[in-house]
Parts: sequence; structure tokens; C-alpha cells
Amino acid sequence: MAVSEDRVVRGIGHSVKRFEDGRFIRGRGNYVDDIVLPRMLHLEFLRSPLAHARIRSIDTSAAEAVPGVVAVVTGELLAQHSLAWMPTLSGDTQAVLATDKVRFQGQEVAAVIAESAYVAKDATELIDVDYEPLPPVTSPQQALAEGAPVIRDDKEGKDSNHIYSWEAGDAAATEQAFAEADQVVELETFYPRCHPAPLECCGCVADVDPATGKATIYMTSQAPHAHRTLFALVAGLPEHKIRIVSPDIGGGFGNKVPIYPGYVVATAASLLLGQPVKWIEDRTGNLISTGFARDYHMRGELAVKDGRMTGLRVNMLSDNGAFFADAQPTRCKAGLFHIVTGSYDIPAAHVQTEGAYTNKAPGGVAYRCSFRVTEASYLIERLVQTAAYELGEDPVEFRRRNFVRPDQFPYKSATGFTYDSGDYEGALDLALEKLGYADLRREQAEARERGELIGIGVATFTEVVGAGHGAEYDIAGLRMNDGAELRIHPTGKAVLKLSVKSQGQGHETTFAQIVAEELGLQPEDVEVQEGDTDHTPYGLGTYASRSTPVSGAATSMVARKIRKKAQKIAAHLLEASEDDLEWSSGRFSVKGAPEKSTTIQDIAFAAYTNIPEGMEGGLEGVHYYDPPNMTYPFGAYAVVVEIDRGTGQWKVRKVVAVDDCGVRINPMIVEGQIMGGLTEGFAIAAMELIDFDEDGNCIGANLMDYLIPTSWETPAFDLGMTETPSPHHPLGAKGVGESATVGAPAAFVNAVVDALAHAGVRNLEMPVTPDKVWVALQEAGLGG
Amino acid sequence: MYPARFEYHAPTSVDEALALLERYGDEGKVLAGGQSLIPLMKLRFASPGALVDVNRIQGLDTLEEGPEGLTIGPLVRHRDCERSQTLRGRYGVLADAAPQISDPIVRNLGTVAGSLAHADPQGDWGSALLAAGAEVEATGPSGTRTIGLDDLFQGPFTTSLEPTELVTAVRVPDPGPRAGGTYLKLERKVGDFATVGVAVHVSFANGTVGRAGIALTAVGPRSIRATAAEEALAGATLDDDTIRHAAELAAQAAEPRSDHRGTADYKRSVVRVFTERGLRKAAAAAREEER
Amino acid sequence: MKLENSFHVDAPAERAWDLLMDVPRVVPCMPGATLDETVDDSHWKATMQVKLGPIGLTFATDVERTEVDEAGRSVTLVANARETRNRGRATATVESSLAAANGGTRVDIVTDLALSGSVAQYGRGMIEDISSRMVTSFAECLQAQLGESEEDAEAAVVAQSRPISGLSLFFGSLWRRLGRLVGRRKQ
Repeated sequence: MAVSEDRVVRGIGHSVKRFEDGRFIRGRGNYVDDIVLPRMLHLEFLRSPLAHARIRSIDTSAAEAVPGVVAVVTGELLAQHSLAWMPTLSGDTQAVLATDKVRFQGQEVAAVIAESAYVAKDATELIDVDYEPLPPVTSPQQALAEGAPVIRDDKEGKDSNHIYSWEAGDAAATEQAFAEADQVVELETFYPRCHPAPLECCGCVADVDPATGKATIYMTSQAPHAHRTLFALVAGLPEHKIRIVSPDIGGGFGNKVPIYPGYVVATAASLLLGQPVKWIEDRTGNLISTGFARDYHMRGELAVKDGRMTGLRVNMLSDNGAFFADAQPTRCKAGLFHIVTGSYDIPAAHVQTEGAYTNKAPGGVAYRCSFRVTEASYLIERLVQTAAYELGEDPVEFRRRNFVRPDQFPYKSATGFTYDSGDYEGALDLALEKLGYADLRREQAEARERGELIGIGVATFTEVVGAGHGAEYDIAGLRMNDGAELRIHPTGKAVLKLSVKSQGQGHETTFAQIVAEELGLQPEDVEVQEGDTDHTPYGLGTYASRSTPVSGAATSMVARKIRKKAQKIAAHLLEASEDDLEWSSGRFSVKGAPEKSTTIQDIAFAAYTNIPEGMEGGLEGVHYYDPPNMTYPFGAYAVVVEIDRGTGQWKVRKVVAVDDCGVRINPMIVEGQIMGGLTEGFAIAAMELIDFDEDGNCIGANLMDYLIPTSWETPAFDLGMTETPSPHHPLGAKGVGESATVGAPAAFVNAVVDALAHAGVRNLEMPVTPDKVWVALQEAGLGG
Repeated sequence: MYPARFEYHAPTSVDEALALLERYGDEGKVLAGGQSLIPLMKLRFASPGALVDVNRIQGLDTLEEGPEGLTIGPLVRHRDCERSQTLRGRYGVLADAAPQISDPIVRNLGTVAGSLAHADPQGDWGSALLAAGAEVEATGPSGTRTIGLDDLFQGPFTTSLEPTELVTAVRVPDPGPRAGGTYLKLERKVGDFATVGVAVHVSFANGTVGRAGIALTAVGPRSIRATAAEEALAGATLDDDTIRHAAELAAQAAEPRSDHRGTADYKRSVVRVFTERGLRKAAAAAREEER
Repeated sequence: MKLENSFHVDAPAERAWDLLMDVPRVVPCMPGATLDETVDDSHWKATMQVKLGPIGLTFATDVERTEVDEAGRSVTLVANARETRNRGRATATVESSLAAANGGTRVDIVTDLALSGSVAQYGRGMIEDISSRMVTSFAECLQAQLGESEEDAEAAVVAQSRPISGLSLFFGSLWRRLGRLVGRRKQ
């Protein structure tokens, strides 16, 4: 039958334009701040100006006297309701509003609830807090030094700032590898604190209905279901009386995973006042108090024997801020940092990590990264580059010789991961070919003769994304599984409900394409719904590149369940045996008699009108997916830079990025993700920094000082791909949202270092700002 | 954005604006482009009691060249300068500075006169116009007076303008038939304030330098005129040695402080490098004019 | 932030000591500062206004004399300042010491200044510049107090204490006045 051949279902592999963009580019998105409810009040915080101080007293009388102010909430008031402290995602506690002490600059001290946001802001200026300043602790080294002030004296028996010690790998085997090595190469480096800085800051509208007791909280949440459960545990509200609605989200990048005091205070205030309360964070509030990323001090040593990497030893000291609020799986104190062996077959490795409290904002979220994979990837890719220079070898050849080979998969790494699939050399070869590597090395040598500095940097990263397996990975005890619920309407249109939540990733398109692929519907016939906990299945949400690996798989599986039922209905309609039917592109036909066929649309209609006797009506299902393993996307990035010897500025001439994320569902969306990730990777390498002065003031508290690149600075990207499917994912897909942010920083830094490497320069710390390059140029005798 | 409470007036004539400024005195503030004032109000570092918005006053947006030089009206936007053919060539220092100011959104609204009145030591117009030898015309209750930029800039955000005065024009003297210049800016990203800026404006007569203007951005409490460098250039032939010497003198004139943008040494060194590059470019531009 | 200022005056150490101990005379030497209240013999309340163009900040300041070493001729004042609209805080520990030198007195002022809150966050590095210039101006005003002319001494204080544009005056007239003062001594 000719009809079926003409009908191309735009499922996997089609660059379908994003359905959600229609409303975004028309300004018709619906973000939290767009939500306006009758009788709604506004919340504004007074934040601590000091990094560390004891609170002697808080006088709110002048603020309360301002016309339009409804209430001023302090920690003391919250304490009366046992809400002054809340649990963090890492099993610590965090102050909702400060009671005893302030522990970082920007910490929430009091909240004004008023009839307008202007009045609330005015009133915060009138709250008089009497502080007794305490010495601020601004680095983990300082925190762990003898006699350091104890930041968390609220914790019973806590007499130091040490949070955790955690290790992975085999210390003895690693020791032996180092003892037998020809050469040991070392790199000490710092992955500085940066911030996800989504375009939309955090916020919520909390609406506790005094009549029904139901709390509806519209909030900027990447994980609405997990948040609902945590709200139930924190506030003691019955979980069925809590509804979290995560509307359109203007970027998350990990920043919207934790629970923040704003959500808690607004909900408590709404409960107490019986009116909806809106809290919308301003940019400074977002940058100085919500989940930061990185802040890892790392030391890596690589043992090399006969040109092969034989051992890796890593020590890491983490700056966790005032509360241990990292968003990460429970049993991984340093996230997935132990992926630090990267793409290399290193037989022995040992990773030791320590965490410390400091007087800085808490967080430790993964800024577009799967639980600290970025730090690990940065360290190994910088260390490998350093080792190549020390061995007098081309960094590319050194990498190639030490890659995990395709025939070694599934590959068990020395720190305990089982890599699913990969072809690292294939990706590298493609990247070098696109770059014209050999020619560039020649050009670099010639340029040096003329006194010009060109650098070529490469990173061949492997990351680990798509948690869990649920038995191994949980957050606050919740298994990292996700659900998908699919309902086919009688006319063959479908609604897919997911536990994950897009913050701009294009879920409404990608997931519709998965259904399209599995059921032969067109993707525009599938509406994807997310974010409303009353109407979507349970799951842990979108972060750590896990939506496609987990919910994507769940979607596939639920569609396949439905197809099974559809097959039974088709058999009924075609009066054939189920086993005699074959499935192709949205229709079942009788084997050997293709003219006897029925479409998925006909089957859907029949599901409500004409089902076999004894069959349950409808055509719908639900599936909760527990991934058997993580997925391991990888790639090869190469960057060429030119250095201005007079100013230390570096200009990117070319970027080649070859990614392998297995099967690509919507290639356009994948490329968009990679470009966004490369931009953020470039940003971190070049300019993004949350820094603190000696008094604990946050430098980087606004977008004048926290530098986010615009299209002017951002280089053009030349993308390439290879495809090595994941063997355990139903579609062969791997997560990709974060690959580029993970891989890119090392490529950029390696490029700048490479320009100066001939003069002995081995390291430059991020962000690689012109002044740092200038100092390196002077010290290397290359100043101009 | 939630600024403190303020009154807002939008006069339609200069006289009306002046009357309002006189009424509010120190509590009043002129709103032109608002690209510096509004962020300060948003952060509540500035909370003026009243804004006098001059944007509705007709005839304040002319940018024209006369026999004496350029007249830049108080509502001339950065974008107008960026697109002006008049500024290219002999007023190259201004033409080059304009597109480097902040980002396109700011340039669409921000004004040259407002930037001078704001006197941000990291502002680009301050040094570009200092190098060009500009002066402002200030109109107040007792009439109009002319203030050279050397006297206008008193310190960070501080000028010799009275709160009752309105800048009614910026004037740039004609640099003579052969002149060239440029503005070099080190910024961390587009839209950033300068880490270092160097403005170079040179007029030539008979193959030697006539007047040279060199001014520095962001390396002191106000825009700095590199007077010694200017004097060393006056009457000299613009050869390598002269350029290097002048660049050294300009670097010495800088009063940078170490901060998170770099050390004082670094900034001073960039002043030297930029002055050298700027003078070479100015010389080339003047040669181009000659052709 | 540690700031060090030193100057020499022809006045004898006793006179300089009397000035340093006379906090109501010392306070107005800070640009924009006015003394509001003497609480007791070691505590004072002052208001400090910083006005830079459109930027206006008012600090309610508690001044405490924490250490007096009459024999060693050194005195420490601690000023705790809170911006009255919660835009930040400043704590300055000012240690002044005297030493006889060349027939006059050498005055060393060591200021340890900690700034916090939004004033410190948004400074773009400029706030440090401004504060160090303010402290320098403070030292120069003290120097003028110990100078030869009563008139100069008074003018210096008036210049400093004016709530408006304290710094503008510093960069303008006071600067020039002090220049004259120094110039005259050189003759």
C-alpha cells in the first residue's frame, strides 16, 4: 500500500523544530513571576552584610510600622514553629533564617511580607540588626588550620570545620604503581567557584488555601516531585496536601535543584497569613546565596611507565560553604568526582577527598555537570597535558596511547565505574582532522619564530551521566528513578506526562519524538506535560544529564507497553492472530498480506469503541525506569588561541567539538545543547568567577562583576559527531546536556598554556584572565 | 527593580528643567540616558528625591560640525556618535570610543553629556573627550558658563557642576586639517567597564605633531590627562623613539590600583602598550587623511 | 585593608597627643563626619555621610577609644559604622602613635578597615580607592590641626565635615589648600 511508504514519522534522528519555542519567542511563556493570584503578598529578604557574625538582636519595629507591611519574619519566629533550620540534600542542616549567627554574606536574616514588592524592599532597609563580627573563614585551607573559628557551632559537639573524608580506588595498588613508575608528573590546580546564573532567578508563589489546607507552590524547581517529598518531611505537611507546580523555567543548570529559604519562608508565611505569598529573588540574591558550583582544590599525580599511565593519585579539598548542601547522591560525598581516570586505561587509582565549611554561600550544585564530573574531567585533562610536556611528547599522541580501547568495553575503571561504551580514538581522529592539527603545529612553530604565540589545546573527556541505578544512587534516600505516563486519546492524539522538568532543554519536542518513534504518531500529536506534581508521575527531576537516560528510557518503555496492547487490539480489528502481525511505522499489518493493516490511530479509536471481549478499555500506561547503569558520553574538543603579548588577552581562533552521546533523538536540539555547553565551558575558562575578599565579601554579586559572555565574546563552534550507542538504554541514547561544559574548560586552558609551554609554563588558573596571562608572559620572558 | 520612592518630572523646555533643578537642589537629578543613574537607583546607592527627565526637550540631540569644531547636544546618544560620519577621520578618538562603550542596548540610550556629568573614572567618554580637548557648556539659574574637562572632573562621580546646572552642550575644538586618533580599551567582555582605556588624539602640522591629547581611563580616581606625554609629543616627529618615550610617560601618569581586574603593574603596562599602539594608529590615520 | 599614613609636624608631642585624645576634634577630620553625641569618656556617636555624585550613603557610627598608652604615646580608636539603610557596614581600627623626631613629632596612623555588605560588593574596586583616599584625607586634616595657622586648621575641618561632596572638596579645594600649606612650609 503506497500510503504507508509516504508517511515519514518524524521520530528519532529528525531535527524537529522545538514546539515550545512558539510561546517563548512570542513572550507567551508562563514563568513563576508571571503568576499573579488574588490577595497575593510579596516577600523580600534582608540579607547579612557580614560573612561571619553573631546576632545580638534584631529590631523589626520600624519595618513593621511601614504602611503596607503585613509581617516581618525572623529566625526566632520560625524557631517557634520549628522551621528555623531545614535539612539539606547532603544530610546536613541549613538555616532558613539566621538565629544565632550569620555564616555567609548574603545569608537570609529576616523577611518582610508586604502588599507590594516596593514596600517590602523599603521596609528591609529599616530592620536594625546588631551584629558582633567574627573572623571570617574564606578558604578551606584556612578552615582546617589549627585554631580556625568554628563556623558550625550550632552542631552539637562540632569542634572543627571538617565535613567529610571520602575515598575511592585502591591505595595500595596505586602506591605500588608509583613505586614502579619511570616518571611521576604532578599538577596542583584549583577549579574556582562559579555560579550557574540562570537568566531567571529563583522564586515561588506559595498559596496555602486556609479552607482546604492544600499548599500549592509554584516554584522554580528542576525536581518538583523530590521537592514535594522534602517539603512534606520538612514542614510536616501531608504529602497529598502539597502540590508543586514548576511552570516554564528560564534556565536551571543545577541552580534550581536545592530547596532555598525563600521557598520555605514564603510557604510558612502563606500558611500563617492565609494569603498567597510571592518571593522573587533579585540577581544579587541569586548570585550570593543560591547554589554555587565547583570550588575544588585539587592535586593530581600521574605515574607513567614506558609511556603508559600506570597510576593516578588525586587529593581534593572542597570548599562547601557554610552548610553542606551539595546536591548529589547520598553515598557519594564528593559526587562522581572519582570518574577522574577519564578516558584513560589507568590500572591503579586512588582518590582522597575532604570537605570543609567556610563562610561562603552553601550549594555545591553541579553547574551543568553530573555531580562533580566537571572538576574530575578538568583535572585529568590538564594533568595529561602537563605529563605530555614533561615527557617531551605530543599531548595528542600521549592520550591516544593511553585510551581505553573499544574492545575493552564494558570497561571497569580503577575507581569503580563500569563504562558502557566508547570509541575515544575515533572521536579524537575526527576532531584533529577537522582542526587540521598537523598543519597547525607547523604554523605554531613558524609563528614562534616571528615572536607570535599560538596555542593548541585538546581535551578528550569521558563523563558519567544518567543516574541512577537506583540501588546505588539516591538523593535523600529517594531512588533516582523516573516515571512516564502515556495516554492515547481516541482520535490518536497523545498526552505524555513526565517526572522530569525542562528548563529550556526542549523536552516537549524530544520526548514527543520518542513516542513518535515507538508508536508511529507524529510528534506534534503528542503533548508533553511536566512540572505539576498532582498530574505527573513520580521521579527525581532534570539535572545531571539524566532526563534522556532515565525518563527518555521510561517513555520508550511505556510506549512499548502500549504497543503491546495495541497489537492485541489490532489482532481483534484485523481478525488475525497477534503473532501474525508485524509493526512498521505506525501500523500493524498481517505478515504476507500488507494490504490487511490498521494504523495506530484506528487502534486508538478502537480502544475506546471496539475492544475484544474481556479487555480493559483505554490505551494508556505508566512506566518507572530504573537504569541498570549510568551512560558514559564522551568527546574530543580542540581549541586554537592567539595571545596578545602586550596585554595578555587571548583570542579564540577555532573550536572543534566532536561529541558522542550515542543515538541522537533530535540532532538540532543536541547541537544546541552542545553549543550552550561550550559557551558555558568557555565562560568558566575565561571569565566566570565568584570570588571573595579577605573580609568575606562576595565579589561577583552582580552581572557587572560576574561575567557571562555575550555573543560578542563567544567563539564560533565547529561541531562533529560520532555515534556509539549505549548498550543498555532502550534507544541507545546517552545524556548530553552537560558534556560540553565538562569537556570544554580544559580544552581552552590547555590551548592558552600550550601557547606558552615552550617557555616552561605548565599551569594557568581559571578564569584565565588577561592579567594572569600577562604575568605568565613576564615570568616566561615572553612579554611584549 | 525596586528603587526608593522618587518624584518624576518630564519638562519640555530647558527653562522648565532649570526651574525644576532649582526647586529640588541637591535632591534633584537629571535623567538623560539613565544608563548609569538607573542601575544606581536600582541598587539604591542613589535615591534622588526627584528625577528631571530631559528626554522630551526638543532640539537637544544635534551633533554638528562648525568652523570651531564639534557641538554635541546633551541628548546625543552613544549610538549617534557610533554612526556619525563626521566623527570618522579627524575625530577618530571619538569615533573609536563610541562603539566600545558598553553594549548596543546601553549605546541606544546613554548620552555623551550624561556620561561626562556622571564622571565615572571608568567611563570611556571622559578620557576620549579629555584627549580631544573638549569642554562642556553648563546652563544654570545665573546663565551659561564653559568648563574645560580638566576642571569638570573632580573625583570619582564628582564634578564641578552645580546641582542646579544642566549640561547644554559638549564642544570639541577643531583639530586642524590633519589629525588622527583612536581609543583603545581593555575590557573583560562586551558591556564591561574598562580595565584600562587609552585615548589618543593627535593633530599634525608640517609633518610634526601639533597638539597631542592623551588621556587614560580607569587608572585613577578620575579620567587622567597624561600631560607629560602630551608635552613630549608636541612639536616632535612621530618616530619610534618619540612614541616609546611618550608611552612611558603616559604609563607614569597612571595611578592604577591593584584589584580583581589585575595588578597596578599590569594596568600601567597596558597603558604603555596602548599608548604606543594608539600613537602608531593616530599617525597612520593622519597620513590617510593627508592622501 | 590596612592603610598607613605618616606625617611630620613641628608641634611638640604634647600638643599632638592632646589632639589625638580629643575625639570630638578628631572625628570631624574624617570627610563627611559629624559628631552627634559624647556617650562617656571613651564612647562617641557620629554620623558619616559619603556623597559621590548621585551616590549617597549615611553611616551611623559608634566610636570607641579602646586603648590608651600615654607613656608609649599611642591611642586606638575603633569605629563601627552601619549604613543607615542597610547597604553595608564598615569597621575601622585606627591606631595613632607619636614619636619625637627632628625637633617635632612624627605621627603614624595605621588604619585597619573592613568593609562589608553591598558597598563592598558593588565597589568595582573603586571603593578601596575611595576609602584609602578618605583615610589619607583624614590624616592630612589632623596634620592641618597641628599646623601653624588656626585658620588653616579650621578650614580643613569645615571642608571635611560638610555633608555634601566631602570628597569633592578633598579632591578640589582642600587638596589645594593643603598644597599651599606644604608649599609655605617649604619656603
